[in-house]
Amino acid sequence: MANQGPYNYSYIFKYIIIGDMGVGKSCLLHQFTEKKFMADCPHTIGVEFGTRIIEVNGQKIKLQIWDTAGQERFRAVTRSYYRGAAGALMVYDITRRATYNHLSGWLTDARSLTNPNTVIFLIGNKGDLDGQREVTYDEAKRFADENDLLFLETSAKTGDHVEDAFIETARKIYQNIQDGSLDLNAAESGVQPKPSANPRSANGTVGLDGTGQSGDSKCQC
Amino acid sequence: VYPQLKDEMKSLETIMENDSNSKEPKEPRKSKLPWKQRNSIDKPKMIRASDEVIFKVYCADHTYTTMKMRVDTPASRIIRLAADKLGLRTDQPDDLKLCEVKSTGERLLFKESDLSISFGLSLNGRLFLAPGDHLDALVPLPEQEGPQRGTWQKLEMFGSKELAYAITMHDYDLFMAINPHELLYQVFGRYKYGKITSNLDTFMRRFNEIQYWIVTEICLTPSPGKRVQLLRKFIKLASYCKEYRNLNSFFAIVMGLSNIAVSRLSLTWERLPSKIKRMFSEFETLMDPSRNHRVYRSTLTKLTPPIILFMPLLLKDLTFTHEGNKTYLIEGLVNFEKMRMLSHTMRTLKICRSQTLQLQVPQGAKNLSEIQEYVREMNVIDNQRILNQLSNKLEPRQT
Repeated sequence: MANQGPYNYSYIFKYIIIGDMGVGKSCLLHQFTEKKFMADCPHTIGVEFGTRIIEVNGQKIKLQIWDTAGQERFRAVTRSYYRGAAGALMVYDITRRATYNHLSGWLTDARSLTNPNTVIFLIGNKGDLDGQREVTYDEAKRFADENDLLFLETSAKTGDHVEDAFIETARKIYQNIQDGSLDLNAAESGVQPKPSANPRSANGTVGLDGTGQSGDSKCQC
Repeated sequence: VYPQLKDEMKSLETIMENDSNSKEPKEPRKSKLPWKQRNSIDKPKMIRASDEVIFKVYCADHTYTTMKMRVDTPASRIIRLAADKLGLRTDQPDDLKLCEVKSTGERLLFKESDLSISFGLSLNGRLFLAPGDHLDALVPLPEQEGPQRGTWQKLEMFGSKELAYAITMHDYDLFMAINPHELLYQVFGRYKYGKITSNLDTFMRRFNEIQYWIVTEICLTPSPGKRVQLLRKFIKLASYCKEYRNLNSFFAIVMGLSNIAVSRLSLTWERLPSKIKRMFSEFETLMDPSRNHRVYRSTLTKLTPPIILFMPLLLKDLTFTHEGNKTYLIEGLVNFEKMRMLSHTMRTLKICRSQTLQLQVPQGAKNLSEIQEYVREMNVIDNQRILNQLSNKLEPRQT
């Protein structure tokens, strides 16, 4: 973090990662955020973690990612995380058809509990296990198109396309801001301009990271 | 997938053995259906693999058979015996599948090796047996929809402090029945170990039960005035649960009240006294997941045991640590950093359970035995779609 000042970003985007148990939600998140820690923390990542700053169109954006792994049996708990999410990564496992079949349930939640502009990205994980595939790329792509979702197959193990999924989502959100379809003043847009420009929002739920950046997402080595 | 994990679990178990302060009951006992109304109010005790459990298995036409089996009976054996009792025959014996049908109609298939199945079902979920290619034809039973009338009249008679007391006493027993190993089985992949996780399942189920109970009761109270009163009672109930350091039910209640079917009832909320409204927004702050539940975590460290902690977050921490970190580093060296982090989280549980709960019966408590019976088994709607419909009927969407 040394050469990247904690306040040196223009927006915070909030993401949520959803999907069945064991599809690799935490692995995706680790894979995506690990790079940041690589240098000083090669092995072990604590639970105080889940942010990364990326760049889209020359703008620095802080992604704040809420993982729901381990809480799949508490559907109503995961529901509480949706509030104010700008992006939702909906993950299934290409080697387990059941996890794909359950997408409609996750999608219903995501659609009904987020605002219409929330970008939903469908991720078929475990792309490295092509031999055990139970869901074809084409089928999932069709599902994504029909439901207006972005789609990629990733491998949290090798890192293939993981970066793309997170960044494409951000790019799409950024585009929505640029063309005015995402209203930043709306209470639950899931996007915050730079903390200094935005004192706590009225409903108190999106004013997340205004102070004490140093305690956030620190490596526990 | 992780053959090495088996060995690792053994060593973890040995470590945990010294850690574990759980007392196993000596006599095996019968466990009743999790969803069945209990007649007596026996205290819940630790469920053991050798206990017998009674449950129903349904066919596509909703006929059923009642099974009585050990908790650790694998799905394969349930399939065989239930097929015999139900007279289900197929050309290929392996073709019969055991699955859960949730109240939403969603179907979850069990693997042949799955254990302790009846405890793992969702609130209004039921077990079905059918040939593999007929699974699509399975639909929920009418009873899975849940109650059509609320219990607001009954709740009117119950004080919120007494309710909190009874809920906490019951939750505490369920909480103490959890064997810490169950958390590890759950996180590392429960089906790798051939061990039951019924006590953890029961506790997890309890969280969902309390939460949906709140939403169900609000949505089934047609009179606006009564609804305001009930809402107020539930907020006070949350406050007492917090006072009793029952954070699991505290969160369940607050999350129930934040459920869209309740939170959208703005005409009801606006009639609450402002003091109660303020109280609720403070509670919501505690629940704020930002910065990794920082508010909750710092609150937790300030409390003294016994504490019934917010189990979903403990499970999330364990899962996150496990999934995100390699168990073995180069040349089979154990990643001790990871093990230390897991044990750190497990220790939180141990600390929370290190003292015995001694609550004083609320002064002048009325109807206590009735309340105790009430909180043990709640009849709820766990289908969000139905709850939303009910909510929309109470306060139609404004256009």
